[in-house]
Amino acid sequence: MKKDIFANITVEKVDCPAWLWLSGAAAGFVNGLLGAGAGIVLVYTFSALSKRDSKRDSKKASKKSPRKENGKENGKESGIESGKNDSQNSVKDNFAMTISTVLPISLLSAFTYFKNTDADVRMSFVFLIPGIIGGLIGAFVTDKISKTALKLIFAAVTVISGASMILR
Amino acid sequence: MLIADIAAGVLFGMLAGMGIGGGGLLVIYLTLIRSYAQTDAQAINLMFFVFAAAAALSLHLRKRKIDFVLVSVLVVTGVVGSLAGAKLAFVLPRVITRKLFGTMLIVSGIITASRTVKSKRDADNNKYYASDKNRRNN
Repeated sequence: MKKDIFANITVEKVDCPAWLWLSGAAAGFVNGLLGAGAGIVLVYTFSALSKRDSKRDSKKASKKSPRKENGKENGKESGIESGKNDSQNSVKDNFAMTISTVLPISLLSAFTYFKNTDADVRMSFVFLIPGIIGGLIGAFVTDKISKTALKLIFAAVTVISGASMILR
Repeated sequence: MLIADIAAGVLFGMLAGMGIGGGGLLVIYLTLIRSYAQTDAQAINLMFFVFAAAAALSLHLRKRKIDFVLVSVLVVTGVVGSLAGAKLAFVLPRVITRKLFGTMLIVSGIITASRTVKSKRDADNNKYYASDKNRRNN
């Protein structure tokens, strides 16, 4: 069973240009300074990476990468559409990679924060259980509703609260 | 207040679960509505995220492809950045941190809005071309 869980973790040689290192550091810096917002940096990182990979893949389309086979194999099992071009990760793959990047960074930031503030750790648990329930509801309804309007409302709310934080 | 907290938790969880965004919403709620200090709110938000992300990731690991090497590169550099950022957060006056947070919110709101509008327009264009093609074929 354990093998199944990690079946989709792919390991391949990545060339790591300087901007990749820098964007990791930038995401970490924002996350450490503001306690949030690393996702916004990583959105750009991952979309730039998929653009680069699809460019590179179209050049050597004939050459079949082992990772592609892996993706197809698992696609049958886990419901990822098979035959999908591997380098063009789906939005959900990028979402999963963003979470797995921000998780360890946030854990470290959180330790630093709780060492330096008198914030009550228990406060986060008050939100945690409702948060997980909400998360499950959200994951359940996500394919059933149009998110365009919701996203625009979300954007408006963040801009307005951002402005009120600056002005206050 | 507990009821408001629970309702807020469910709402933020839902938005995060739908992939719309969650980063910072708890900070907004804690500072603007519950009048927490900026760094306290950030600490609680971080802890909330760690547990919620761990729960989400346990679902995602099974289904999604994760490029482990790429993630490790980003984590290693991210950790360095995060240590610097967290250090700075406690050196800067809280007012400055709050204003920086507000700036980040405005930037991320604008990014979310423009990406949403763009992807909607792309989807509409694709639909239009598809229907146009069908019409010509018929």
